[in-house]
Amino acid sequence: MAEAVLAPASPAISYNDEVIKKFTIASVFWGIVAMTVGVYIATELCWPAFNLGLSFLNFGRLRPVHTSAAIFAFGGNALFATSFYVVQRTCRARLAGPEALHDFLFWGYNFFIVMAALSYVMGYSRGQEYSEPEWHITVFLVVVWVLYAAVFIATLLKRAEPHIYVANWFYLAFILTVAVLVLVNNAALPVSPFAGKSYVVYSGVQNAMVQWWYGHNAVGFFLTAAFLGMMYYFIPKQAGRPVYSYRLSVVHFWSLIFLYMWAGPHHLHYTSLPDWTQTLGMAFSIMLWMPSWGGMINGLMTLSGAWDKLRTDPALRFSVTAVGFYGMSTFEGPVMSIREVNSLAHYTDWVIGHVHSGALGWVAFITFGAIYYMVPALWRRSGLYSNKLVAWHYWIATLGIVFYISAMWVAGIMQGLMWRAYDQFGFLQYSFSEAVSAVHPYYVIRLLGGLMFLTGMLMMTYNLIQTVRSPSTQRREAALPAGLAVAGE
Amino acid sequence: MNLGDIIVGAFVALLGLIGLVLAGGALDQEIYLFGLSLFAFAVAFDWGLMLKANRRAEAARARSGAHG
Repeated sequence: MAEAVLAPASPAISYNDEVIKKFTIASVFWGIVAMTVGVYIATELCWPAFNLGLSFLNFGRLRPVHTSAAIFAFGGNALFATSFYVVQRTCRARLAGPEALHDFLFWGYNFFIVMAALSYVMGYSRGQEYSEPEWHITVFLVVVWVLYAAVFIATLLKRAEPHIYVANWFYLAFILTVAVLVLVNNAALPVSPFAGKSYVVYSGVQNAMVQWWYGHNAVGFFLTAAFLGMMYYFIPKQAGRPVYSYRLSVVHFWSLIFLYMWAGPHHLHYTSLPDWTQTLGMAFSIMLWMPSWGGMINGLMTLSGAWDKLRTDPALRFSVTAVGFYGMSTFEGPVMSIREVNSLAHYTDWVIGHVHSGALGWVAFITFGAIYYMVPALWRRSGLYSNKLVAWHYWIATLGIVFYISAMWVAGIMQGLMWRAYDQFGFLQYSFSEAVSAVHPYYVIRLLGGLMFLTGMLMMTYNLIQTVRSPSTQRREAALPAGLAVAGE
Repeated sequence: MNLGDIIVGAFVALLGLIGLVLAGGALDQEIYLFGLSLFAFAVAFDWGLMLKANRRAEAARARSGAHG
């Protein structure tokens, strides 16, 4: 049970909610962009003529727009919003620094996203997955990120609460680790200070190793640790229950951040990376089962005594289902990291299915749950415009994920089996193009799943706009007294 | 306008100047576009800061009843 000690009630604190509102709106906006581009490139994979012969609509250029918009724009803005929401309320302190600095964080971060997307469609890329922006855009991001870290840490330092709530630990690990990851993986020499082209300082397999140390920890710290911070604050708030085991949450934190750091080499099985390094990555990936499932159990058990709320609160359904998907994808990931399984799975659509069970099921769902909780609170409304619409969103999005990931599982395993099949003479049984045609129906099912997920996102947007604007969601009489929002109370 | 806002505004103005320098010496389209966009970003941001400060000052004047 939560053991956080609450300080005596103090006068109301004026939180900076304006910047949180901006980040929330941006998150929803970029979510629509990311999913629309995703649906479009899924269409291109079914029917390549959809690139219309235009270079900037090619799959190769739009794919990083989709991934960056989903991870850094939709996810990143949601993390800025929730981290600022959580840190102020659990520390009972207004965000540190002048308001102009908070505004700079918002506009600066979104400027980075727009610049990165524009550079991709213009054909400028470092060619390293999830780390595509060229040096000048990365330098700008580093400036924004360092200021973000400064604001977050300074807010923690001036807290009125004696205890730092566990969600903040997850957010802090995310902020600090992403800074280190970006700095190391983006070490590059520009051709000229006036040219948008640089060469990475590492070469060959060292470059691959650093890239996947970065890549896997981007998953571990950006897409996992930070969203766990979201889970540890918003699920207790939605359920009206304290965290099931605060002790377990602390064990979860330290074990997760220690183990994730070593798992990257599992992306490089059967490469020129030394064998022992591959085995090390595999072993640490399997060890990650423990903290991941510990965290999942902690999230789910927080609902003990409040499971009935799932019937009446569809937003909570998103958060709880997200934890289920977290458990599922963190089970699947270590399985795929086992060398023998990886020999079948690697380079196939199984990986795409795995990534999307995490991205849609975990990241997007926990974000939807948090946004549905935050919007009425931030805009001082009595509640959401339509719970029925939230329920529709939930079911259409869940079905969309099921279509998406099951299609990719079947397509991926089929691809893997076709690529490794030999005939009686020892020749490959199938040509590559045969494997491509075989997966076509599954690509169409994937497109349908993505379309359903996007439809749900649009329903959420309409619901949120109505929540803010409709007279039916009357204003509250007064703001919440400070301290009421401390999780675990 | 408080000191914090002035420091942030000056910092962003500096970024804008760097953008102009980048655009001025650009060897390719990417840096040219980035430099000009950074400059436009800085101008828009600082303009927004000034508008906000002006609005705040007017509201304070209205509260104290000292119009004019």
